[in-house]
Amino acid sequence: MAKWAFLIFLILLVGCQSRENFQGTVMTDPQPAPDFLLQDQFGNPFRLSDVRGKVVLLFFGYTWCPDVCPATLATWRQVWEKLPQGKDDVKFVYVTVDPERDTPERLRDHLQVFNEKFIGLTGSREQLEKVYQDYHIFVDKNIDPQNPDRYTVAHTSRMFVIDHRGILRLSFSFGTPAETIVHDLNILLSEIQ
Amino acid sequence: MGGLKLHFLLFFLFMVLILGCRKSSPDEKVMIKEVWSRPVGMAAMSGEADSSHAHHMNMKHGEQYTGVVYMTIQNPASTPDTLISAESDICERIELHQSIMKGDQMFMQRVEGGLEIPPQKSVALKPGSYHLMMLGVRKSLKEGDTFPVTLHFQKSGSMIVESKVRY
Repeated sequence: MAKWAFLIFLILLVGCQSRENFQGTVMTDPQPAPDFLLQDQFGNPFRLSDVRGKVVLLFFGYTWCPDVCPATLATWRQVWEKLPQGKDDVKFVYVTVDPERDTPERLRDHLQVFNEKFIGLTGSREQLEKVYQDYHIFVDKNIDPQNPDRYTVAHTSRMFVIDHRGILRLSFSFGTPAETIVHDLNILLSEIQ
Repeated sequence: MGGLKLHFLLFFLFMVLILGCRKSSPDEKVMIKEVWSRPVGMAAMSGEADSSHAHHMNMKHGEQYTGVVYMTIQNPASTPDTLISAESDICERIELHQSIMKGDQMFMQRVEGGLEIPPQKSVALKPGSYHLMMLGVRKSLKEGDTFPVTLHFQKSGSMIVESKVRY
């Protein structure tokens, strides 16, 4: 009897481990992802809680950025292509850190070359500051006094993953390969069924 | 027999000198490899009128479209060379920039004074690192497109390379 109990315990242990075998950075104390209401690239309102039931990839960037932000979008494009099933169960959400320049039109132009299904969000500075604060996103405008319009924005480059229950579960540092992200998304997608 | 040995030794020394000189000649020019850019989306791609040059000239700097050029620069010479500047017809200007990661925070800064390529070394302009930033891009760039970029080096002079657009 004791042998059987030990065996069942082992099976459960192994089962739990394989379910949680994420390759990204796992939140040690997963909490509900703070909700927000912003405007998408088509001018429509977008509320995070409205996509409850989907897995959400969340990144903060800006369209003027030539390097790290488009590199992340290119990785997302690869992720999209590599997702064997449940593409519609994953939402790719890009929140601007530069609302003064990133109009909905500008976000639309920028995102459509990567994937038309990617969601680009902007809003008022006040709305966005609340989102940055809730997600602990560092945002810092570096203005060149000689060319005040040609500023760059230093920002957090980590992407976040919210599960189908709306819980902030994982994050990935910049440069994480698409395969790693797909691996973890598949685990989260399997939790939906 | 002794003469043959001497001839052989002299020939050997000659070859060593030739190869040595070939490897570290100060006259050799830099070599550029794997030049590529990311796509740039514009209103033209969503069916609206393409953005004309004049239109772009009237735009404030901040409203302009930006792009990027990556490449690997190899310097076979025995002395350093410096990438001083770059230009292309498809944009108003090109600047050398560097992305710097401090933990998870990404900073981008302009590289002043050019980018030095040490002797017999390669420097990669790649995502998250050094890159050429295009400002005021005048046309949309789609996957598979190519466009010329002129690079100006301190010693190697000017050279034109083709950048291929990909993701």
